[in-house]
Amino acid sequence: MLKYLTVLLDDTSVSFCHYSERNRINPITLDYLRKAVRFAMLENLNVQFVWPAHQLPEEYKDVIASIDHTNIAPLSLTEDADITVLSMTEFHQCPDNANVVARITLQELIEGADILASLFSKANRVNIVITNPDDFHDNDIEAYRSALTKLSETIYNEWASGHDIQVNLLTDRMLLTEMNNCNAGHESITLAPDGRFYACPAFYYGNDKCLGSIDEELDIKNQQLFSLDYSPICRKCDAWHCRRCVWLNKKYTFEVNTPGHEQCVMSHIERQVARELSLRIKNLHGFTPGEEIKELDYLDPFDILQK
Amino acid sequence: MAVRMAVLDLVAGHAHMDAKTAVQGHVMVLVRGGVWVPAKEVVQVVAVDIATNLTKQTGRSWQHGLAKNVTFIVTKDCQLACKYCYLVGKNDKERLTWEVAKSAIDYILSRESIFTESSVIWDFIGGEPFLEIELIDRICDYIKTEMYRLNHHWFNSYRFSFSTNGINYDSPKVQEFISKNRQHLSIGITIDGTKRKHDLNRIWKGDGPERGSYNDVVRNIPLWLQQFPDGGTKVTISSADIAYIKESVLHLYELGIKEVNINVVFEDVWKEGDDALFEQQLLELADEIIDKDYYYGHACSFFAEYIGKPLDSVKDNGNWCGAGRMLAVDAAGNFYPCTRFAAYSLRDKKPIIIGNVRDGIDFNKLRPFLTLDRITQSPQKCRECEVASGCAWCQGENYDAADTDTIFQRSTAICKMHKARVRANNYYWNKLFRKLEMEGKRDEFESNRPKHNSPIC
Ligand code: SF4
Ligand code: SF4
Ligand code: SF4
Repeated sequence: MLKYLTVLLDDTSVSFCHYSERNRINPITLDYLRKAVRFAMLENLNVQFVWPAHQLPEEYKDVIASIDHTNIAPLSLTEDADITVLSMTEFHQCPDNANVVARITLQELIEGADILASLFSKANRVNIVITNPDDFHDNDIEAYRSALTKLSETIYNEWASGHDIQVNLLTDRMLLTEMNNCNAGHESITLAPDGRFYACPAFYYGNDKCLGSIDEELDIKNQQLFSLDYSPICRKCDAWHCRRCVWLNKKYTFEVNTPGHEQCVMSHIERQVARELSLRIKNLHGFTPGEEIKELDYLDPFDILQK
Repeated sequence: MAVRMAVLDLVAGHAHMDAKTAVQGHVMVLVRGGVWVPAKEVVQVVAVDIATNLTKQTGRSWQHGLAKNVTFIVTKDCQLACKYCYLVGKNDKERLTWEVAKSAIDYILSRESIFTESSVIWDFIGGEPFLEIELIDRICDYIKTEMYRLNHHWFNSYRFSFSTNGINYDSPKVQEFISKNRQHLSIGITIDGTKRKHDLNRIWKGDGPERGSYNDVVRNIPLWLQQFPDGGTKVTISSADIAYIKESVLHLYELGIKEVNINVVFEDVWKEGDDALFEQQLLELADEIIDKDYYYGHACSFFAEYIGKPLDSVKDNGNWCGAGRMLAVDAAGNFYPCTRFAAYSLRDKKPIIIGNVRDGIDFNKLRPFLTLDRITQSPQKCRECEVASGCAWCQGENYDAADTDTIFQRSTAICKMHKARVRANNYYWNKLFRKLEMEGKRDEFESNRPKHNSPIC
């Protein structure tokens, strides 16, 4: 069931996930914005507005203020942001106690995990987003594991000093008791500046087919395929923190419900490091946060399905 | 039971090639047969269905599904211009080159750790594959030599398989090829049933008055049966063909073919009343088979005891067809999960290319095919269906007909036809068993049942 509506206020709205936004300013029309707000009210959806760095006219702000919402914004608008998106060059400016998205390339993460770790003392929550996940290959497994292990060391130290920082890749799996994925297309839908719906912004920027329009109707054909129950691999998996990115799925396997090998492997490395971290925190606190994470002998659930 | 169904499922699942051919109205009979003599243990001669690996004598899947199917789309050209031909992309330019074929073979044979199946079927399709007999001969020679040179685990367990229009079956080059490879060969010939039916659609290419091809094909059937005596047939039915079902099956029996594998097309072609007409034809056919005692020496797969039962959502959750476990290669050197995903056989969708001879297979593209199950792709009505067993689908047609670019949306265009088949099937078995009991021959029948419906394990 749909719960969230993400509204891209402009083609240059800051990217909060794997995809890249566009460079040319192209704001959503006021008419579409009004219709989006009305649609969210009628359908009882939580709205997230994704902001560009440039200023929007005052009348836009009035429409936005007419509905309870969340703001995802670049650093320049952090004062009004619920979630601030940071690029690597901005990590050192992370606002205190913020909920941030830290966008970083795979190479930067592998080679510069320390810079990322510097965020952990300031923020309350850090969502690490790798901007080029397609560059991950099996020969990066050890390097990725070692970078995450470094991050987990910092997290441990923060927790030891009383700051229970949340980092999506490593602490979410410890705290979750069931799947908690991106759920684009299933629980959330995006309205783009062209007035059309997409499963998430990545599908819009990738020129994928739309799922209806605000002028006509939302029309998600085969919507069940966006849900966990209709994913033969993911429904057998317990990497509960995994984004289960349907956009990457489509890219890798041509099917939104089928993850590629690389996404599964990355999530399982995260799960492994999260497991080690949770065991250390157990020693620290005397209890395991969440349920115990079992040891697995595979990195890709596809392999066990094929046995 | 489950394994037996899986094999019979495969029969229908591979019907798509003919299915599309049949869309615009015909009965197409694909005469299949072959001889395969296991190189190490020459115990018996068995015929093997090309597409399904279904052995005609034992009803067992060849190598119990352990055979890899590699399909070469050798040409998109054909001597005929069948009116219903589904190959919209048919042309005389896209011919497989030796270089592409060799690259594909080199790629496959040098990766034993990927292609671990204990056996292989090298399949050649067209257009008309025998138009490229010289290339095929060269390919087959190379495959044999390379398997030997590499001491490949397939060396003693391979077959070459063909689906042909039968026109040049008796040509010296084809016959030479057959005698050279006889022990590792299965060949299917396409014929549309009776002459009037065949000539309605299967006509020669070219200008001038329309000329049917029945006589040019049927003259080769005796030679084919002589070379492959256990040959079975495959018949595919579309809307306009329903009225010809009975005569087509009986005609094939008359031609000397004892086993007819038959199914309806998966496409959404069915009109109001087709199911009733279909049921009527099957009932008449059932009467003929039973009243004339054909059931002893002949088989028709429309009548299978296993169909029309509910399926368990956990135990009977397998996929129907083998797409993804096969590998097809075309003239451009692209790999497909099955030929039905190549551009020339798709109506509305982009091809699904899973790699190419240069870069190899992209295994991520195979993951959907290898994890697809019945429940995930089926609508609620099929999940709860009381007569679900034997109700088939073709993954390629599912993809082509789906609302989005997915293989996970099952087309149920055959729903009412399957239900009609189930009713006729019930009639067949009730009538047959009653007759056998009255004649005191039930036990005898059970011990000599036509094997194609036998359980596998
Ligand atoms: S599907 Fe979800 S995880 Fe993937 S790019 Fe879109 S928002 Fe991000
Ligand atoms: S790790 Fe793979 S199988 Fe598990 S939820 Fe993520 S994408 Fe799905
Ligand atoms: S298509 Fe119809 S007959 Fe076949 S399983 Fe579904 S509901 Fe049953």
